[in-house]
Amino acid sequence: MIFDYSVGHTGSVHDLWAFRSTRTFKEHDSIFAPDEWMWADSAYPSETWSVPPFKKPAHRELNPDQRTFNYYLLKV
Amino acid sequence: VSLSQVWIFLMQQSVMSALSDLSSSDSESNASSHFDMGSPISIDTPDIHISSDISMPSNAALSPTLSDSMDSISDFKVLYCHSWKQHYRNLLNDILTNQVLHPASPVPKSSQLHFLDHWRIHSPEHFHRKLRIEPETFDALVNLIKDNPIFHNNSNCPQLPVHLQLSIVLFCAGHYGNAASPEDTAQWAGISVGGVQKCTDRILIAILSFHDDAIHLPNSDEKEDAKNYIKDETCPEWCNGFLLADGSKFPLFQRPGLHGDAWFDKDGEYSIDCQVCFRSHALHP
Repeated sequence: MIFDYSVGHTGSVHDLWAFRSTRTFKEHDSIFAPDEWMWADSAYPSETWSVPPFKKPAHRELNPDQRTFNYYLLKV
Repeated sequence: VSLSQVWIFLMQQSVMSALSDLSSSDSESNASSHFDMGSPISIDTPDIHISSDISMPSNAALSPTLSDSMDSISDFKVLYCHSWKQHYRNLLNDILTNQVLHPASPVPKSSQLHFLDHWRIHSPEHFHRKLRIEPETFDALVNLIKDNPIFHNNSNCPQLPVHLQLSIVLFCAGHYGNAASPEDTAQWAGISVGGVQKCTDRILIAILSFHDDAIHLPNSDEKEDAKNYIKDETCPEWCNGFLLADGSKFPLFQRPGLHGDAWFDKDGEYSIDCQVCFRSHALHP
């Protein structure tokens, strides 16, 4: 079930920038309790209420723990 | 905003251009006044009132010659004025009373909509191919929207039945590029291009009336469902992450004329961006 959306930005804007116009971003204080969060794509910010997967650093692999984390994040 | 306003605007434009032609030729030949430039423009009828002062401040330069020649109204001017008046009245009358000013021969049309009735029984995959939706989903959608007042025009000439309107819109939405153009859709459905537009408007109005039912903050039950789902899929500690966010895009057929390059996305297409937050339960029924 869709709960929030933002549409109309041009295709060239970054996900993060377009996401700033959603209600979720603007009202995250009231939408998420202090111990709640949303799972996000790797383009999104890492906040207490927004958890993106680990990004692969340049010239280095993710460590096994990070890989496990990302694997289970995909299952969500 | 009525047709007559548009017409009066057009008329002003044409009179203005006629005026400027006259004035330029006058100034070249140094003739004082062959025509009284002001009077043909101020036509006082119940329907039309036009004066050159409304939209042409540059005409202020002409006003001395206008007032000088006001005294000598020639017969020619009266005739000239009268013929213009008559001309415009006739045209205005034509525009207000006719839907089609220059009738063309009828457009040949042949609907393929009846194939859908056959396909939904004998080959649902063909039905799906055209409308991108299962017959059952289609019926559910029709039931959902068919009572919307937008489909009742209270006229002797009723609209197309709702299921046909929905078929036309789904065909259009499920195709890409010029296959989804109003012209091609109209040809497929055997209706006019304007009809495709109207069907689209009506169906979207009917569907958007469910916007707040479909898209809203999760209530406590829904939140609990989502949390349980996460708990089952991963681990109990993760269950408070009950929402998901991701970006998607709606590809555009062509580069838009206005700010075209801004629509160019990272995948080399032109598109409109869309950000969605959804309950994690939704993707795994």
